Amino acid sequence: MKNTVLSARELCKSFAHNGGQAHVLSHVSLDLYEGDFTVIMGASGSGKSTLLYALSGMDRATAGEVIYDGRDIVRLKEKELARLRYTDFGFIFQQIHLVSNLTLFENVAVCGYLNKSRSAADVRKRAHSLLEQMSVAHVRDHLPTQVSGGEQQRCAIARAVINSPRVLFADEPTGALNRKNTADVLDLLMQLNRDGQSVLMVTHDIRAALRANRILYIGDGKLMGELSLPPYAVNEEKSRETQVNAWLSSLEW
Amino acid sequence: MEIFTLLRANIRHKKGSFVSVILLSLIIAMSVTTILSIKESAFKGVAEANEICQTPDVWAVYMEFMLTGDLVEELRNSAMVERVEVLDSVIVEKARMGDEEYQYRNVMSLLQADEDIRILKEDLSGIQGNAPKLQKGEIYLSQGLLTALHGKPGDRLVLETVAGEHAFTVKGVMLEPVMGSSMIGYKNLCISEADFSEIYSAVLKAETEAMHSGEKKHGLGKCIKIYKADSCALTSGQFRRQLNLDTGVTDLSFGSITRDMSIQYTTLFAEVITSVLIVFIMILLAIVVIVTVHSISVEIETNYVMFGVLKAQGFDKNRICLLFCGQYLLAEVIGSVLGILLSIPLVSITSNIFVTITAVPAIVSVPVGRIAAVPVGLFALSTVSIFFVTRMINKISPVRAISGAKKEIYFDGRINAPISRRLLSLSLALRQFTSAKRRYAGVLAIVAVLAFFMITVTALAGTVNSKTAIESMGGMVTQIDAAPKTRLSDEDYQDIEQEIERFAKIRRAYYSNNAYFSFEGEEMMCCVYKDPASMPVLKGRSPVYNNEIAVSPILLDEFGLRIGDEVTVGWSGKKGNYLITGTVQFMNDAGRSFLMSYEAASEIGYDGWLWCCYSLENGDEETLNAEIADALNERFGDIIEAEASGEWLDESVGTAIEAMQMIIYAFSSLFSLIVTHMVCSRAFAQERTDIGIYKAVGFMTAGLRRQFAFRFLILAALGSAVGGVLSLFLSDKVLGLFLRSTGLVSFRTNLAFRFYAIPVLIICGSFFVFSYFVSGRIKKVKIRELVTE
Repeated sequence: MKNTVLSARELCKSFAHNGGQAHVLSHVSLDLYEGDFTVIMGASGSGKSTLLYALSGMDRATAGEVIYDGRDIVRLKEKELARLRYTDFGFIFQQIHLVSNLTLFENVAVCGYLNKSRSAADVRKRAHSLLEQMSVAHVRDHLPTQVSGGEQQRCAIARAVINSPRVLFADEPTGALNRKNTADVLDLLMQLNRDGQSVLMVTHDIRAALRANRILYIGDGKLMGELSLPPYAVNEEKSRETQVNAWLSSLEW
Repeated sequence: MEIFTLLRANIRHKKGSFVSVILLSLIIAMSVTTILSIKESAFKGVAEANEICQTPDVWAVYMEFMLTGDLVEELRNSAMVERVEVLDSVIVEKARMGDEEYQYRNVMSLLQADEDIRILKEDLSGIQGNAPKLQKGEIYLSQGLLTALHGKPGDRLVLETVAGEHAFTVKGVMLEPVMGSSMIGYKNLCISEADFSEIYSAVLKAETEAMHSGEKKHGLGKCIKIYKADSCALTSGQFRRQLNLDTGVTDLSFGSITRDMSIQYTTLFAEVITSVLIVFIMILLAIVVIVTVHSISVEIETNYVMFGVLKAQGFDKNRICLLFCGQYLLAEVIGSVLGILLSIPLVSITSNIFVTITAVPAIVSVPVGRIAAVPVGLFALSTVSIFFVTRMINKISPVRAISGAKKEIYFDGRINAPISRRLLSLSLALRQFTSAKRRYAGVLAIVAVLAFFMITVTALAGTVNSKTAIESMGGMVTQIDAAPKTRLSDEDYQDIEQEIERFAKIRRAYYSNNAYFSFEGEEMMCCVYKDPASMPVLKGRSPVYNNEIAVSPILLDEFGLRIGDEVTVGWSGKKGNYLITGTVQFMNDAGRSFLMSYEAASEIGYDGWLWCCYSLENGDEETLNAEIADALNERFGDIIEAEASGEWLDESVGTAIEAMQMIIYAFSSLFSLIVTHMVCSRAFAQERTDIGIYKAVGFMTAGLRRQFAFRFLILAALGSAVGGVLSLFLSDKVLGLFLRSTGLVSFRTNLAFRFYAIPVLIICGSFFVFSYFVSGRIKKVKIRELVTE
């Protein structure tokens, strides 16, 4: 029996639109389990990124609750949410979003500095070690604009895990990358997951989704289906892809 | 047509900067209109008063016995002279009103009031009309004297003459453009015919009695008014000089003043204050241009893609330049027109603010041409600047811009200052600043200029209030002044000093007198010192020998002289040649003065008695000073009359300088607010994504706002440091230029820490507070904005 790390209950999100309300998420309920690599898939505009942002506390749900560590994060104050972001949650953006006037190393370290449980020296040591792990230590003193997109995204992953979060959220982390960099980034996420990191990733790329052991499908703001998979293995990728494709087809993907 | 469409869209989209430029232009137009109108009104009032009062070209004051009938006849016969009027006068030694006293080297003349006297309205806003005939015991005096005595109509005034004291009630303030200003020491007072006859007879009697008992007492005087003939093309100064060369008219006088000099001295302070403010406004104008350039350059950088698209659609650099010109010039025109309109009520309220100094009511006048020149200059400067700054557009390639392959223009460099955990907000702020230096260069320049000007005016205000600084510039700041009643010997001086030192240590003792000598044929003030070396020398050396003098740099320039030249100096008709040994600075007579030793002055017959003036170590203790004066009068009452000198700076002058300082502080803060608002808004627009990222990784809004405000604090501190360094090297020179007309060619500010601290605190505080206020928008940044759907 897996431990639930995050639960959503009756989650709704709507936006003001043309004088009315556009309901992007409608009564979504789900559980995320510790150590899982969960992927959310769906067509464009289906609400998958909105769900990710609501679950991660980056955006507040209009209704419903998101329970983390016994607390409903929808109702947390800004200070508590901010604390959650630098202690328990890590986030990777599709557009990478590194602070452009900080070096790769500083981008990672600054997030570490926010968490007072580690000493500054420990933060620097861990930042360097993570950059090494992500194979970007050689460009650690470069500005984001001076390195490739893949290197930037690997740095963003290092930033997301600098504070050893319990959940790593990733919003189409390979969306802005080429094939080679996509594979590298997915390998890194896989590696982190194998080391026990819970990952929740949004993607519409089937090849990326194959890395997950659990796929959630969202359509019109509702959870339409769920597919559990065995742990990923390279030699089983073909059969895994066929299985996922068949499942997605059944959901009119 | 397409330009207008884009212009409308741009204004709609960038309302903030459009409104900011309107506000900046409004402030400039409003202040320029107000200040130039105040100056023009004051000058027009003085000119009009001189016309009404038929001011003579030369007004000279004599001891009664010095003005001979022959001299008057000689003057009347001169081809240069149209007419000469001679008035009997009584010399007033001292005027007293309550605790306040006024005395000025016997050049206070008590005259008989005539029917041409005009009096001013009670609120000094204008001329009420012809003065009602004075009754016995009533007196008219000028506003300058009333200001000096802190009095008002209805107060009791006591005048001292050689015949004793005479009490009057101030009936009103008369229009007196010749010497009514508080910037001129000479004063005229008018009394009724009956009073004048009575006092004249009493003084004549006192003079006669004194003569019979072997004493020397002179209390009767004469004033002459000399009017230049229409055919004489000389200025009033040249006229006086030529007349003196021909007749010796001013050599024999106590003092004289020409019409031009009177106007110059009367308007001197208004001129200095308005000049300083106008220069400050010009600096603000330059700031508007810097802000415009900065705003456009940031806009081009931020909207790089949009300009690429516009170029792809056929807009060339000139059209885009035209677009910016339209946008900014429209804002400047709106601001200028509003500013001028809003200043109209302000002008009518403020036009008369110098009346207590000029003693002449201002006549509201708006110099439209000069006022219009300022906004026109602003438009021209802005247009040229916009033309230059939009050259950047030439470098935008439509293809590269649209494909997103733009050169990284946001971050132009980086200092490897570490990001510190302990000072995370501050170090991130420092990084933001150092990594976009170009973006902040304009703001840095603005802060530096504001800081420089604020430090300079603070130093000016501080220096004119600093006794030591005034002394270092040749001013005489004393606490005990003793008027001699007889010729004093060196032993007398020693005894007086010993008596004073029983109470307080003497810092500096001055034994001197001022008198008008002829200098190369022209009447100039001569400062006769027992020890001329007590005056600090600017160049050369102090006069030591009996044939030496030191002159002011202004006099040196005016007469085209150099150190080492020989000049002719005269006193009471006797002349001698003197060698110029150096230059000294005086604030008397707007710096048109010279210095010589008593021995050197004696060579041409000067036999005036020297005043004894003492600067004390603890001179601020007023009760002690009064005690010392009382002790001196008790012990040496038969040879001197001592008094504790109070204010050494005219109160209205000090108030005006402080007001000017406050205006400059207020405007600087206002400009800081608008500039901070504009720059912060731009920075905020550019950094919106970074702010979102910081929030996403766990930064709090409050921390980000602090970081934003810290950046502008760093900027303000750096700018202030630059301004401080500039003021270290330039403040004295700039103030020397401003104050040259007062006689201060070499201004030495006493640049104390507080002169820097107050302006720097104001600037840094304004920038920190205003940027923190603007950064409130950070609250509205949502992390969702980072999402690409």
